[in-house]
Amino acid sequence: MRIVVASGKGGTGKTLVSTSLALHWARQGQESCYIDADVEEPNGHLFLQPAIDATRRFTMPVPRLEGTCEACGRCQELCAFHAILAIKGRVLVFPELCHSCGACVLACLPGVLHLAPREIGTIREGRVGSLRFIDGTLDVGEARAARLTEGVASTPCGGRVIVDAPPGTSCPAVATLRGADIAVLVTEPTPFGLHDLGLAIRMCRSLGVPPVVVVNRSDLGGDVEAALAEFGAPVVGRIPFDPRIAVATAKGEIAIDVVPRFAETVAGIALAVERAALEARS
Amino acid sequence: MKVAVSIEEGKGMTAPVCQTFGRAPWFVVVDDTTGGMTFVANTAASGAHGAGTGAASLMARHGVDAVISGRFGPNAFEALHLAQIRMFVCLTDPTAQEALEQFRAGALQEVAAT
Repeated sequence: MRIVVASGKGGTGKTLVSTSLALHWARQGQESCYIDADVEEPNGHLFLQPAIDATRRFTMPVPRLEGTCEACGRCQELCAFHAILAIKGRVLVFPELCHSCGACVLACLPGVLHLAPREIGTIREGRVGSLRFIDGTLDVGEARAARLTEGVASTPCGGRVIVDAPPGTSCPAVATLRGADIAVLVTEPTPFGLHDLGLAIRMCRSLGVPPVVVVNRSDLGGDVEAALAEFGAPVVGRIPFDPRIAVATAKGEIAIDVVPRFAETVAGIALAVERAALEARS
Repeated sequence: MKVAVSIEEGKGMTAPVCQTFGRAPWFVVVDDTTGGMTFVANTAASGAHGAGTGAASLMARHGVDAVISGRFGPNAFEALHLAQIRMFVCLTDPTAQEALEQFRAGALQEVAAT
């Protein structure tokens, strides 16, 4: 079962919910894996403090010129991202603009363009007790986050997979939803939170992933029940504001270990998510 | 010699100079030998990435020898350099006509490879 914890708005509590769910299931004896796919700002490791046992560099293929170019310009015409130019008999590749589609290589008549790996980030694997841990970090200055996000999110792992997605609804968030059984969208009862939740629900539906909602800090802000009902996505949990959760998070502690009431809330969310995912499958 | 100026509107030589090269909505290409004037919409401006390289290849397709703009990004600079198109900086906000006059008077600074 693949559960993606996403949100429209940032800072709503994706990492709190995903790390809590992952630990909860692992401690129940479920084979579980936590994947931090927010490669531009991975922070799950701060709370889980995994023992890392493998680190590998991640590459994406980009075109490289090997041989004599005839500057026919077909590569430049085809490139949707202006990542390759053929001007006045010379070819110039801008690897940081390349999206690795490979069209230029297929189109190259003299066959002098080849794909060569280019490092853009690091993927780490480790363990937190019985919980498997995977995260990815994009190199500073790199722009192709979605590519590494895909790589991290598709690292082979079995059992219950909990993916901590990047915020927003752009390419990296979309990349995490591929193959998901269910999306747990974490929101907050603010105009921003609800607006971006609406976008996230539309993203999930257009990708065929059923969304369920967790409302964090549910007793702060205004009355949002009408707005939530309008979205038509089931609310599987509400986390009331508790300063002890905020204090634990600020210290990098595991909130379910220090706030018993929150641990109960997480157990309830876990059950509701499982149920919703099984229902969606059938 | 063909000189291009990045401009805000594709209407006439009174259009103000656009301060960014890659994201400029329009270019006016002026041919000194024929006196011809062409307004070119920058098709690369609206893309999420690659506006600089896209605009540079557009300039090359139009056979431009020099381009006048406010700022050139690093990718645009490399691409224009490859295309052997000279870059001139106009940091005030004159009209396209005034910028061209400043260029002809040698008052605009050229961006050179470091």
